Amino acid sequence: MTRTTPRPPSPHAARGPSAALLVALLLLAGCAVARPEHRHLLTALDEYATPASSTARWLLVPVALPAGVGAYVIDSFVVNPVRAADDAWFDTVDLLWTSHEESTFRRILWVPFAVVLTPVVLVGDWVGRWMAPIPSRDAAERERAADAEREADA
Amino acid sequence: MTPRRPPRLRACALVALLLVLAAPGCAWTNRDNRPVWNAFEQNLVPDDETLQWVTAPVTIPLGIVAIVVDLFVAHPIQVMDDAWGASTDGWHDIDWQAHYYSQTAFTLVRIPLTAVHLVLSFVGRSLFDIRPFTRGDAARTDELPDAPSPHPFPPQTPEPPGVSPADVTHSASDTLAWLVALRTDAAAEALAVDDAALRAAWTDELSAAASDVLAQDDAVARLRVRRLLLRVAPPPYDVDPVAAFSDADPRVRLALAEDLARSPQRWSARFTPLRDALLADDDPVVRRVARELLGREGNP
Repeated sequence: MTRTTPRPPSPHAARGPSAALLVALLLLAGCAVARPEHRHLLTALDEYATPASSTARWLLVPVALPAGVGAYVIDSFVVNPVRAADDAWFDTVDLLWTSHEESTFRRILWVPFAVVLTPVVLVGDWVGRWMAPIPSRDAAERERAADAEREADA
Repeated sequence: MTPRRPPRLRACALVALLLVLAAPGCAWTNRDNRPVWNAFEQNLVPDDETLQWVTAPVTIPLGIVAIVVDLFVAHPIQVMDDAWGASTDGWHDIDWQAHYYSQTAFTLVRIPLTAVHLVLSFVGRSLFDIRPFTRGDAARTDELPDAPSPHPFPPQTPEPPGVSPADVTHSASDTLAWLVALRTDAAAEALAVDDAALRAAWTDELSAAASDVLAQDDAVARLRVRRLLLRVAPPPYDVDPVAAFSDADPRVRLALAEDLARSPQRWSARFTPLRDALLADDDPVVRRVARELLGREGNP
């Protein structure tokens, strides 16, 4: 009976999961920029750098195409993560470090858990806000105010 | 020598082939999708029954050829422009002025998506009986029995199918009574009339009565009339939807935006000015709801 020697793992095999992760990351980041309010740079370009005449727009396509793609990428991987950072921090503070009328003893008891959970919540919230089309805290606040106004009117 | 396929695989391939061959039969069930057969039947099959029996040895194989040509050549050619129109429909609504860079960049994704859509649309339309594509919902709604017509009741035009003169009379009189009631009672009983009949029966008197209600302070009454106009689209309200549905009260505009979002005609070219007006509404809540329900920015 012959024994087959196991083949050494291919160096390409390790690249598979990381490539899949990268694609998933790109797709997820694209999910956020699908919403106009998450396309800050692109919206600014659309608003301030669009030529008025259609001829000029056609002529500008060789520039607009890379500029638009670049703006998508910058929005996805620079602007959105930076903008999400403070919201993620305030979410974490709200969730773990803000007292909701608990006694001092309970708050002291909670501190070790809060310390351990802070990086988890912070990173999870930040990635979520970066990747998913979640409204910013300001926008959510404005929406709540508008809803309240609407209900009051009704 | 190539290895023989296992019998199970061959059986699966056979079933798949039969399904592919049988699927175009779905399309063939519609008379419009069999031009060669229609021409063959009209021109080559004799009217006389005896002659039909006599010529059967020739007409039967020819008929089968006609069916095969319909299934695999004529109908696919017929649906090419529909598939093209359906897959490129999204390109017509791009607002290049407002979203130049966004849409230019998205073109890189849009082109392969369009190609995939084109292939799927062509195959689907070749195999199944799918309604021909017409650009914009305005054209599509023209096919519906309750579609608004630019001249719904010229004297020489017959009534729309399915609407009897009695229906028309009742619709007009009931609606007039309802509009008169709304002037004093915004909670008047709901109006139950056939939309097509009402459109056909619409008169200047009804327009005047509707305008009277729209000039009232009662937002509920105005909303009820505007809902009727949105649904029925009688003349002259089908001409300028913005004027017809502009209301001073943002709650009315909000309700109308929601109604329009539910309407199958919401993407109709006729309602483009109204959609644009709602998307740029002065009221932030109306604007936001309209963008969520009627905006295409997030779904290009």
